[in-house]
Amino acid sequence: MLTSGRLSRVDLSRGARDTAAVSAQRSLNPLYVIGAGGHAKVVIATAQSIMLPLGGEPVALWPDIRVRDDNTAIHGRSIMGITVEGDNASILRDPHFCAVLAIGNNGVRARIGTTAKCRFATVIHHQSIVHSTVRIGTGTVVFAGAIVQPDTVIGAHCIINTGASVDHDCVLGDAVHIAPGARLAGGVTVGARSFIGIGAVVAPGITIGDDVIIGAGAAVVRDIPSGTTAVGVPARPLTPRERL
Amino acid sequence: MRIVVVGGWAPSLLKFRGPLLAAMVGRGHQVTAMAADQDAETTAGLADIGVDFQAIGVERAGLDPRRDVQLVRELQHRMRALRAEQFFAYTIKPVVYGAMAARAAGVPRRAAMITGLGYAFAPPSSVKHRAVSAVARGMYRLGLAQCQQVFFQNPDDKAEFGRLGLLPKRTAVEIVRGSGVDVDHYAVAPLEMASSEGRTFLFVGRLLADKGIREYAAMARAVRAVRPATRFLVAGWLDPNPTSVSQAELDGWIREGSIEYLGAQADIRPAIARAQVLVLPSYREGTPRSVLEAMSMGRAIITTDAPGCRETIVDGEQGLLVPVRDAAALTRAGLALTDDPALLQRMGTAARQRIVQLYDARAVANHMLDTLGL
Repeated sequence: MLTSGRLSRVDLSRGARDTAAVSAQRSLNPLYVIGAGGHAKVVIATAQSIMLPLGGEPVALWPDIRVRDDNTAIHGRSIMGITVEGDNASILRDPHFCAVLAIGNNGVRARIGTTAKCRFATVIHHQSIVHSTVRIGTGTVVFAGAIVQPDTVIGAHCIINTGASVDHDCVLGDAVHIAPGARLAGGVTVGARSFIGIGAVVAPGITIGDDVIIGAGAAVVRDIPSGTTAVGVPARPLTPRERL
Repeated sequence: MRIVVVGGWAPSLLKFRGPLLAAMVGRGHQVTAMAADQDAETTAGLADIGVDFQAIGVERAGLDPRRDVQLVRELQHRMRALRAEQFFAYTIKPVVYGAMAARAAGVPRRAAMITGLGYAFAPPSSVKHRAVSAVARGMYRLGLAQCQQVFFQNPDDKAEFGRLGLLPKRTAVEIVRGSGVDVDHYAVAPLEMASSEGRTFLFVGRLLADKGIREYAAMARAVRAVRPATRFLVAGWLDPNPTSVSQAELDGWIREGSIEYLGAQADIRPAIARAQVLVLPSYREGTPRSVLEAMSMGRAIITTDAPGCRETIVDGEQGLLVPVRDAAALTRAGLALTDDPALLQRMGTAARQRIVQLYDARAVANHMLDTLGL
């Protein structure tokens, strides 16, 4: 019985409270954008687009956006008016920070997404259309003009790029990238880490495996097995020689 | 030993002090509980755990001195008749008048519990408020001077009483974890992650400005603007308290679809089970019971970095702490949990663990009885 009393005193100390007060601020602010390339610009613009109606002037959801990159050569440079301030590791390992991965490589996003300890934000552009029944995984970004239709499920750390459309009842795995203007018809399945190239179209009910690459402008009318690259109209997998 | 426990509101004896009363009986003491507005359910419930009940004429609010003098006389008479050896009271009037009566009745051991500072300690909003605050503080000073032991529910309340000079030097002080929570009654409810229902948040309590109900309504509107499938439940009621919101304001929130109003709940557990997150944006609490109950049922918490609230969770582990009166921060916290089901699950599990380790009502009750040497 004495134990409970002792526990109370330790945990209610002033030190513990001060820590809580500090982290209460930093856990919700700022948003760390991981990666400082061209894609990061659009992630930043998307995050900046989101305003909260709180009565009076709308308030930015993320008033404090910061940029990190492991490339030390660009530390101190400015992107969208934000100075690249340091490497990624210190943010990714701390559960009190909130980040979004602005990295184009699907494999890298998937790996960081599963190993990082920080929280990830889901960033959906104010002028995209995402139906309320859509489930979107943590860390996914949806850019301006993208449309996602009812009952679609999107994994974590995906990119639904500018003007892409994902119709009803699609299932997208983690770290999928739907490039600008690509169109997925209803009931399409896309496996983890797959990339649907710019302007490609995917016919209804098609299943695309994991780690697939669909070339720009391709028209996918047959299922595509995991690990393959498919191009053309209609899209066909490249042979190993063609891939070289 | 013959113990008399005095509270303001009869059902609170069972709801909030039940485990303490049961522990007293369990240690072989004869316990008589007193409160206003007798109800059959409370009397029967108390009888079940072996506690006698006596109704007294205490009113929770109001400042009519004649009635208060009567109340002191009545309490003094009853305690003398019982030959009470230990007096224990909580909430302002029972503490103040009870302690004076207990001393006059020759009860040798007198203790009080400060369950929250309430309206009388909020920053004064008017001349009347200032006057009421001054009277309340004077009453506490008078009452606590009659007690050898005072319990606080959080370190901030204790510091505040010390700062205002309400604690006599020879009065012993101990901080306890509120009244704890019955971890069996508030058993874990599986997190309902059904996407068709969307993410669901819950506010429990009286609809007072000081509980942060306006920030909650603002959060509901803002989160739903960005994530339309999210739902915001309110299990509470309008209260005669001066800081209560109006029926019209509540109706407005319901009409615009920001919140779904459940009204007062006899049993809060089904409402907690429906939600994934409990939100309490309060400006100040003793130890908020709604938070403990939701944590016990495995729910993540969003609450304020305010006295009484901040101790319930570790920020980022069982939930998120936000600054008081900050609807934007509250909204950000809500969105963070809306978007991260894995985080919700992890925080819910951590919440239950923290309750079982630190807030089990039986352990809290035993801690108090050990402190009192009972």
